[in-house]
Amino acid sequence: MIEAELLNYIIHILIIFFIFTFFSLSATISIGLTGLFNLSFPGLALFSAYCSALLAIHGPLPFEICLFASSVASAIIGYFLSAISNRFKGDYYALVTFGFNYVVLTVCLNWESLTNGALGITNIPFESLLISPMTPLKILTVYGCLCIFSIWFSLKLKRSPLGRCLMAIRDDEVAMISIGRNVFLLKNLSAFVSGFFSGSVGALYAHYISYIDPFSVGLHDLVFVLASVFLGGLGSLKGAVAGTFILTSIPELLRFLEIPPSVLGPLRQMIYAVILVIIIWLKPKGIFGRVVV
Amino acid sequence: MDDILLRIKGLTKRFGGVVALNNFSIEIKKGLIYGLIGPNGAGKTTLFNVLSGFLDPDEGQIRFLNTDILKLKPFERANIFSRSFQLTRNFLNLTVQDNLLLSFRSNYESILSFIFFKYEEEKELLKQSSSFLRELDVSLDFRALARDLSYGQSKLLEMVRCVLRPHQILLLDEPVAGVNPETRKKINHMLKLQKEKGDTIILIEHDINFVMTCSDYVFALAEGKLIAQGSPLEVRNNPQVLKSYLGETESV
Repeated sequence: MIEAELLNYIIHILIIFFIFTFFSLSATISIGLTGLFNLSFPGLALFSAYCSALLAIHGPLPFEICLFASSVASAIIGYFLSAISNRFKGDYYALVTFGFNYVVLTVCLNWESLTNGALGITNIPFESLLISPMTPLKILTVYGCLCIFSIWFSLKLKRSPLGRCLMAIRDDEVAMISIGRNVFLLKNLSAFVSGFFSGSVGALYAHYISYIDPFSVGLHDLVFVLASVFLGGLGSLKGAVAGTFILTSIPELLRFLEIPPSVLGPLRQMIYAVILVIIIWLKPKGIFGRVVV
Repeated sequence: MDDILLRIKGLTKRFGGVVALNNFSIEIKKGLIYGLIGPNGAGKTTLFNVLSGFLDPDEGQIRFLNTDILKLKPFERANIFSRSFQLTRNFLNLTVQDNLLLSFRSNYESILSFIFFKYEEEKELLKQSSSFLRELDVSLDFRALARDLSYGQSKLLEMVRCVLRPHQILLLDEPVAGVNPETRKKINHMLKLQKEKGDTIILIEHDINFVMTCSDYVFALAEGKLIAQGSPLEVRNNPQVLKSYLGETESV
């Protein structure tokens, strides 16, 4: 009996790891590759989570279509958000994109007729076209495949001429203009791909947990993602995945120490923040990184 | 008359009270090397920045053949001008190979098309670059990161990137500043080769000997105005140039 529980627990942790890998890929593409300090991932994920949940309930549409549609929608929003924020540079860019999170949060909290406000949406269906019923193990397999496909896609992107252009923008925007590349468009493209992955996080999370409220995805996830990307090394996809794995698994070990749950939550947040500080202090390039942005 | 590539007429650029370019007019003919000399703050780099679109002029017009290039965006002008920077701008976290490949526009720079990307095209471009480097007798480690290059090498890399890029006019901002004599010779050689290929070059340089040896025609600027133009020898002996740029010689 205990073994079955442990197995389910491990499956849960792995699924969460897969979901957060999408977040790290998103951060790696926009911060690591393109050098855009885009902090809109949680907002996009929250938007996409609601989008997917509402499609699944009111459609009712199967999981695959909800996932794809909401990811595309958040990619498009990411594209336009980048186009609007483009006139800001550096810290201001980060602030503008960060502000977007609060826009989404406020809309989700206050558009009660659609989002049910702070109570959130419960009983989000998880009905797939191909697989039914969805057992945890099947969910793990599906999410794992999607995750591996996304990592492959990101690797392919990074090694392609397009990826090279994005990395060149990170290194020197002015030089990039002077060799005739449309930097504005390339940045928006990068935000599009990054937005797509952020959107996937929201949809995957909403269907897996089957419950979503305006605080499901938020600032704490942003800290988590930044910590894992910096830990792994900025601009390195291997690092992003490794960083996510370390940060999802290590705090879980705390569960086996007998710490009261009221302390456990804040303690995990503290661990992320402390890791972020230590990494920036001691090893600014991260584990696998070669780049300091 | 027809071989005039670029016509700059009445170009004026002000930074607050400072007039960086003052009613500046020149004509650039195809296939020549132009030297641009003048003391610091004469407006040489401002001219380059206006040409390549990083600055908008207050007045004046610039025509390349029959196109008004002031209407083009900076990245569109890059098809005409290939420019280097006073402070070298390479892509530091990329390898030398990637830096060189970025000189060529790839058809695979749009989203999704990269999934079907094959590397044959790149190999061809790399061969082209390395044969160009061999021609110049320059050795660069293709796998090294651009940030690990020495100053002279990164200067060379930037020059090679500019030259390799398809362009009509080459704008070089202080190509030999702070470069050792050996590399200087190589850069000189590179300019000569480009001229033989029919390239048009405008270069800014403080080293008067370098300008005199490699350019066909020299413009002298001071305080945003064109004070002299002509063959290197004429400009060198122009009293106004001697006064404002080389210093008062009478007192010696």
